[in-house]
Amino acid sequence: MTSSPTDEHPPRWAERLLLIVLPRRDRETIPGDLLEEFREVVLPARGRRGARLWYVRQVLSLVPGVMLGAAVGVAFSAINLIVTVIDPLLDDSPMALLGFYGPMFLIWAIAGYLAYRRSGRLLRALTVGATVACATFAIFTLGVILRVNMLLDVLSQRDDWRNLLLRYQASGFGSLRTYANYEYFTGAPFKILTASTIGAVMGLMGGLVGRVSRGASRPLPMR
Amino acid sequence: MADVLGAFAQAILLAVVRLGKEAYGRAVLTEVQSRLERDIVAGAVYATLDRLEQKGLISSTLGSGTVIRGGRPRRYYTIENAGIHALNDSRAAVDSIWEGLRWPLKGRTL
Repeated sequence: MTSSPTDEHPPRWAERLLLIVLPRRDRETIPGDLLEEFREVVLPARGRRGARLWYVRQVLSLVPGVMLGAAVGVAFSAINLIVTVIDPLLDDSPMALLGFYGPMFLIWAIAGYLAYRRSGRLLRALTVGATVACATFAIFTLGVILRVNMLLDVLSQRDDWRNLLLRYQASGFGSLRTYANYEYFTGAPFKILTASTIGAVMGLMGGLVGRVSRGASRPLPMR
Repeated sequence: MADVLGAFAQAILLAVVRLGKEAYGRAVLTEVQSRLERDIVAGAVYATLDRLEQKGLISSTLGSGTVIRGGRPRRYYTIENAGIHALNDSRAAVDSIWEGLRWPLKGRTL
């Protein structure tokens, strides 16, 4: 017995996420379009797994800020990797950290500013700032883990790795690589949450700038 | 002359024109993908449709649902006079920029 296309469903969490992020007027029509494409075209062409991946990608493209955040994350991961390759023993001084993360925070604030200019709502600026930051740091954390695995030998010579090396020696782990991956992966949720909070604040600040400057210029078209 | 539309906005508007009464979101997405010969995410198409509607270049109405869509309605788009003017202006601008040049341009050989 073969299953009918109407028996197949995209991931439930993605469908729910879609309902959260879409404006009220699109909550029926856009999920309907995606479901129709999913069942009629993508599922027969790519199979169940491929179709579900396709659906998730479409949903993420509809979450304001995710694509921008992912692009920012890739860019900063690349910069981080290049800087480390050029000077692997350079410690993270406060000025160096400010020079690196400052532009990242500024981008989150600009995302909030633009979100406010388009919607006229500070809450929208805050959520867009948080979403961009969350996506940025999710990708950036993966980039950092990649960097650690590529350059572990040289990174372990850095002064700012002393504490990690001490924790490794006391941990009972068999290899430094495994321990470093464990630390970075288990620390990732906290870092992403912290970044999202900073992103929300930066987004709100961008939104406030948008509110103050609104009278001075014409608003952008509504999104 | 009015603002020239971006290439993607033109592709969306022309898809609405080509599809006529069948111009709903998914059909527009498929048509644009086919014309541009690349994979396009839904977010880009819906954001552009939304922006064009806010500008008054297109309008939309709700249609009925089907079983395969889980009974959810379709949103059908129609081009407005302002949209037709914008397309004509954009085409005229491109033609003006290219006037006197033979297409395709010949590149330098290295």
